Amino acid sequence: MRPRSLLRNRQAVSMMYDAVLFIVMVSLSGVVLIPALQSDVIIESSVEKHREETVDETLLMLLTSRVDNFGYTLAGSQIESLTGIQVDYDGSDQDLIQALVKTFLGREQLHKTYADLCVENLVCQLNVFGTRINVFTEDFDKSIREEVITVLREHLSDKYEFNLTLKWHPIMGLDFGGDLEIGPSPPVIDTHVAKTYVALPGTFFTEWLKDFEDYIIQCIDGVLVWNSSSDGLKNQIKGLMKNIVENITLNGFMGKDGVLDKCIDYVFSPLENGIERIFGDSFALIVEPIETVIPYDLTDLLDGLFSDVIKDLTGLDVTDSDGDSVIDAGDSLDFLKTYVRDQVAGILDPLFDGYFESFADFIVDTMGTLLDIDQLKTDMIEFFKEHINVLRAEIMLTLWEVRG
Amino acid sequence: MVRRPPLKGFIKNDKAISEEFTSLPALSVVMIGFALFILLIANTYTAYEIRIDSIEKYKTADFIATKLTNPDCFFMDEGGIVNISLLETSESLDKLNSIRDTYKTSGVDFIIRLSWDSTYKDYPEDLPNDVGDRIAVSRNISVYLNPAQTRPGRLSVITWSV
Repeated sequence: MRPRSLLRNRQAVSMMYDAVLFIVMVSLSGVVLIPALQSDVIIESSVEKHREETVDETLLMLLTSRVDNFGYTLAGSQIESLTGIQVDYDGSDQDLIQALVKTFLGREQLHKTYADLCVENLVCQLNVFGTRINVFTEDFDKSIREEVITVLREHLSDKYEFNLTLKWHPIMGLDFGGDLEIGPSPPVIDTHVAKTYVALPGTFFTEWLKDFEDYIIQCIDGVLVWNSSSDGLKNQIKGLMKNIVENITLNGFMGKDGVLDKCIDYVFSPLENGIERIFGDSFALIVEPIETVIPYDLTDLLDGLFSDVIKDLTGLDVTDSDGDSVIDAGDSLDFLKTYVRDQVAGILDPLFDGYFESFADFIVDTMGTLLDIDQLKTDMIEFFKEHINVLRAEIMLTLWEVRG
Repeated sequence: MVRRPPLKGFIKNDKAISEEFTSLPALSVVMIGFALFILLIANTYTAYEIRIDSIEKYKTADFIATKLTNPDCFFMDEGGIVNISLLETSESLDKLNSIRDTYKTSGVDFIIRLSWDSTYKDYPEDLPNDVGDRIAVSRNISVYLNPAQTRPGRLSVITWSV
């Protein structure tokens, strides 16, 4: 059909249709603009950035600042549960018995950094396969928890919840060392995390670590001929590493103790001395007043504590029919020491085999069969320091917003 | 002389040009729509302006805080510790005042407030009472008071427009 001329065209759309069309378009523009009106992307991203910074700053603050008054009582939790005696370290007045307990068993740590206190706590715990051997420092845990919670609460408003996790595991992957967790478990999403490593204060461990470097170099230099086939070379590297790891963890090297003995002795010897101090001669002075509130013999109490630890760790019941321990505290410690050593020896090979495999593969794949000995030394030292390091504790602060 | 029609006649007069009766409601609908549209645009723009403005002010305060807590700042010690004895020297206060002067030229003034335990101190001078809206940005830091005491504290930069 031929279109009619525009001038003659008498058909039209009512003006109302135009108006409705206009309204529809206004609504559409509204739909487009409303997200811009309500969107808080810019603000949200700066808030996120702010929280990331907050968690970093807070961790740094905690690591660098010092506590004014801090202290704990050796065997404090046991004394408290038996007698109800609780010692405060904030300078408040105490009655005679509290003052006596504080004098003999108290450990006051004034003006130390929070980081040092935390690391000290980790090292003295002696946690093995989930069982804590040093049961005397539970009061230390409690005090440090309270202290850290007070400080963090003060600096992070009620809007945030936090979790501070500290770990000292000198041998990677082995449940041996110390753990401390402060605050509730964090949720799976929307958390901000800051993590860093703190070094243990310089002790004989520092020197030990240097010797351990020399030992690795000596072992690599000691190999007369490196195998020329790639499989042979891999096996040779694996064998060498296996040997090194056994010596540095268990058997000892260059006339030094292995890392495990070193750690165990480091914690056990003060523990043994501590026991003497707590339950030895000096304690006899306050035994009279203590015995008036504690209904039974303290030596039995100590033996009982260790028989519980042995039962927890090994499943062995070392008590007789009356419930009294058949071995005394000193023997218990020796027994535990041997047990820990044997257990670790049993699981060390399977633990490290995978790592050695991938390390040997990595070396042979990147260097080929013509070894660069200096590079191998550097890589191997790095590998061992990464997996076995007595001086390094991990500290992690997690922060999240509490909604509602 | 033309005789004026009587009023009665005017009322009864049916002759007229009829305006299309849909145009008035259509016009009102268009007017309402237009008003809504203008309102929407205006709101969006104001919201955007406010947001940008507040973010800009916050960024300024944040930038000052970052600058002052920088490890190489004149009153900072190693490890992000604020050394209060360094901050209290007249040289430091002069330096702070000169930083303030540069910001004053852009219409922003600030003071820093250092708080630890339950006390606080303002530098280089106390917060004036007559300032209007203030924006504060805080950083958690450690405050070095003396060789024995390094307390966990907070450094706040309080800014306002001049």
